[in-house]
Amino acid sequence: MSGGRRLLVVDDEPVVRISCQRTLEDEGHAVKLLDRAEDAMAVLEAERFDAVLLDLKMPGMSGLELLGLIREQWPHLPVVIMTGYATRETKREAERQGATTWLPKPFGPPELLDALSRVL
Amino acid sequence: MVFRSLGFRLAFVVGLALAVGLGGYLTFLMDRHESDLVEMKREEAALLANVAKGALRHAMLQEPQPDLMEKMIPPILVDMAKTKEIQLLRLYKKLERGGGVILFSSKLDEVGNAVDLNADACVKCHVGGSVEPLRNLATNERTRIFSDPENGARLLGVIEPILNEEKCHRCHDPKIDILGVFDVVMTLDRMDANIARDARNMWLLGGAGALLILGVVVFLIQWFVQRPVKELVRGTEKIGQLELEHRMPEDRKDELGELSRSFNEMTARLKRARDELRSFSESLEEKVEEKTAELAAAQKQMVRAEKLAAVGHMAAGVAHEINNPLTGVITVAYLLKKKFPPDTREGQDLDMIIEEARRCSGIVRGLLDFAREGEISRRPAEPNRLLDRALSLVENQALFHNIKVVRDYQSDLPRFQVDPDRIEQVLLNLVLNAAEVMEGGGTLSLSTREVKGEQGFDRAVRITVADTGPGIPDEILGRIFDPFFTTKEPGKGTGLGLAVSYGIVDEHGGKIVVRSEPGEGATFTVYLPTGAPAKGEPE
Repeated sequence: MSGGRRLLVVDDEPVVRISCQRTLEDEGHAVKLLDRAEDAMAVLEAERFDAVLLDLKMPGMSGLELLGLIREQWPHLPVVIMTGYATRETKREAERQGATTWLPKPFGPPELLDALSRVL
Repeated sequence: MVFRSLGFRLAFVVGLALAVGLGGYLTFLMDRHESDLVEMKREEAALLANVAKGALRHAMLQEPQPDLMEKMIPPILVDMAKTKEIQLLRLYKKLERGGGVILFSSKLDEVGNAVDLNADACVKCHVGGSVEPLRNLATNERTRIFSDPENGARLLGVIEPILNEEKCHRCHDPKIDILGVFDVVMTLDRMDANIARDARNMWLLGGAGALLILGVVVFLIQWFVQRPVKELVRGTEKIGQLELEHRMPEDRKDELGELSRSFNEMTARLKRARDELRSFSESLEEKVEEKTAELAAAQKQMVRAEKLAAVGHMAAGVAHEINNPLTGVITVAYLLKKKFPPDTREGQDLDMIIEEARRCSGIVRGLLDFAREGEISRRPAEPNRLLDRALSLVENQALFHNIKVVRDYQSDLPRFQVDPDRIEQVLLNLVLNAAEVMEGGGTLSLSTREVKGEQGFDRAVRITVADTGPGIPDEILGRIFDPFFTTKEPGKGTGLGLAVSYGIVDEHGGKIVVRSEPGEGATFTVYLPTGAPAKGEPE
């Protein structure tokens, strides 16, 4: 996968945001970081993105909720769900809501880039 | 109390019956006796009258003389009257002008006395004082019984008419049919005395006889009824006090013997029932003890499960948070690594950072596995297949090269409702543990059975995983399912495998137990209940 994509990262943890940014910018992608799911829809409407990286567990609106909203508007937008720990039920629910792929934490650059290459 | 007794009542009734019966009979007899005697007396009197009549006729017919009557007849009569029994002999004659006259009498001074036709002696024939008498009356109709006006003695009088026969027509007017009437009066004193004496005797004898009979009856009642009945009553009292071994004699062949027999039967039944009750209550005590022990064991297990859940819950909160920082660490290490070639010291250091960070993640995952709070999702699954799948995951590893696997599966095992992945995880854990402990080689025995009534399960699948390793000493056996407990060297295992397995089995409502003797290997047994089949599933 070559660089030059526009990617949105939504996670409440700073270290996760920074890790994603470092990894992705190193590959030549443009990255936008958000720390709240509530801000995501506006941003998505305002700008064009090639993919979204979304954490499941966030205070306030959860990743799952946001996923639902995104799918309503953009059925084909690739969404990568990041999560520390998922039960079978959560996975099933996420798939139902339209997650494109799954990225378990902790991950390093290889795993992140692998996940992205799967969806782009 | 004695008035209520059977014996008394019976005796009373018999006595009454005897009194009435015997008394009535005796009275009847005495009555007849008296009648007969009176009859005899009557006949006697009539006979005497006839004798007198005969004598008179004879005399009259022999020598009809005008004064014969006056001369001859009185002596005859007087003589006759001397007979003790004869009180009086008279000869009456009816007078044409009315009434009658005593022609002759053994009481000489009566002669010539007039009599009224209404008098006792006459009225039987001269009914109501009629001048014309009744004729052809029977003897007893001509008999009267009366009391002597002077001294009150009982007398019997018979009137015997003297008929005017043809031979008498010589002197007597043929138009007159009755020439005169004999009146023979006899004393009944002796008869009465006899009757009285007889009566007395009969009553005495009868009374004595009755008493004797009564006595015999009472005795018989006492002997044949009272005694055995008293014994029966005593026997029932004994039984009433629950001496149920007591039996009554059954030798009699009559109704009382039957009573004894049926009573004994009842006693035997009572005894049986009581014994059953006793043994039941004993076994009940046993059952209660059993259940109490079971309850205590179940409580212990619950406490352990709760502890585990609490630990797990705590761990989950912590563990979840670790993954984020680890992401940071791994990412940054990778990025740094780019700046150093792989064979440099720094590059290797960074590799170590990454490796250890991943290891942390593994530990965390193990912990989170253990703390899994999500519900298990059950599906029907086949025990034998799960076991084989778990085995197949590791069979080909080097670990298993020297291990002989022996399968003893029940072929028609029912399916059970379990979360297949998790149960597979449990079986895998057990199989791996077994293999690891038999490093040099050994035999791994796997068996499956359906069992009923074991470990408190109505129906369950029992899976055993047995090894021929060194076995587990007693002091370790109790802690083997504790979280973080491991006998392996540090770094080689988290000590969570069995704890997690225990938790999974427990969540399924099953049981996992271990048995081991040092030197004889260990056997892990998993019980999983076979619930009712899911709706729509054929069994």
